[in-house]
Amino acid sequence: MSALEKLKQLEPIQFRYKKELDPTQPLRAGFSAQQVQQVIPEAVMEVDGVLMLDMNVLKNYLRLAREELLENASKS
Amino acid sequence: MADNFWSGLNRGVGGAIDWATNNKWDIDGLSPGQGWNAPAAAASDGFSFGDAMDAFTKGYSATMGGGGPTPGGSSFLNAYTSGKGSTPTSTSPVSTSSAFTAGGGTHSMPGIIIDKPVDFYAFKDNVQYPVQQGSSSSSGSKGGGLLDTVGKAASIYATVAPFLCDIKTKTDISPLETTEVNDDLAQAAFFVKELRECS
Repeated sequence: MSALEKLKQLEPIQFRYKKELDPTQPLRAGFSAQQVQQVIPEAVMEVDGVLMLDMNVLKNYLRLAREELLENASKS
Repeated sequence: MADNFWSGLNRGVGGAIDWATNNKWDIDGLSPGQGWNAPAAAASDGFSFGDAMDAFTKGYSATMGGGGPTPGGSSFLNAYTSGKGSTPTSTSPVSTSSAFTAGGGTHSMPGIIIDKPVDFYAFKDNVQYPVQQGSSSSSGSKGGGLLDTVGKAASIYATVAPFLCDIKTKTDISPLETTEVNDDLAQAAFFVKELRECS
């Protein structure tokens, strides 16, 4: 499956961190690590039982998706 | 009175259903030329229903071409499909209003004004990602174990601070519509949102 297709399977969410983590609790955009793990497992790391998103991996997927988009645009 | 009301309702709604189903249904019992007839009514000022649909699709594509409704990643998809993705330089408010000609007249469609242009940098090389709250600098603070964990992960993956995305750390979760924080994760999220909406 291409990077573009994998990215399309991610489900963007809006959320707030719990108050004990972020007292001001602004609305944020992102993903659920658990959901990302099902699609791009290598983009998720677990540290002390907590899942985190590795932006290096995600950034690579975004770059690949961009290349696919450019390629598709050049064909059409 | 009641008869007029119901017969009027029948002609109006029934005619609309007949028209919508291309007269495959005959709810109002009238021929296509009688009763409610949307195209004819809309064409009275020279602007037909077909023109409206055409204008809508043109307006929609124009809107998508100038930037989407989503903050943060609004112009990602358009920028990349036009080959300008890595070097966004817009610094002034962007309006995506579009004008079009239909039915012999010029019309305009309200667009979306992005009053806070965003510097897209998710694809730039050597990006220094902003340090997330609770990263190494605040390790050991009152945030407790999770903040320590973020700091630990940041030290393991030294180049980029990881994003705390565990569902356990979040509240008020819903499908992405907007954000108050424009970080790299938000830009990626809006990019994916546009991908999904445009596919």
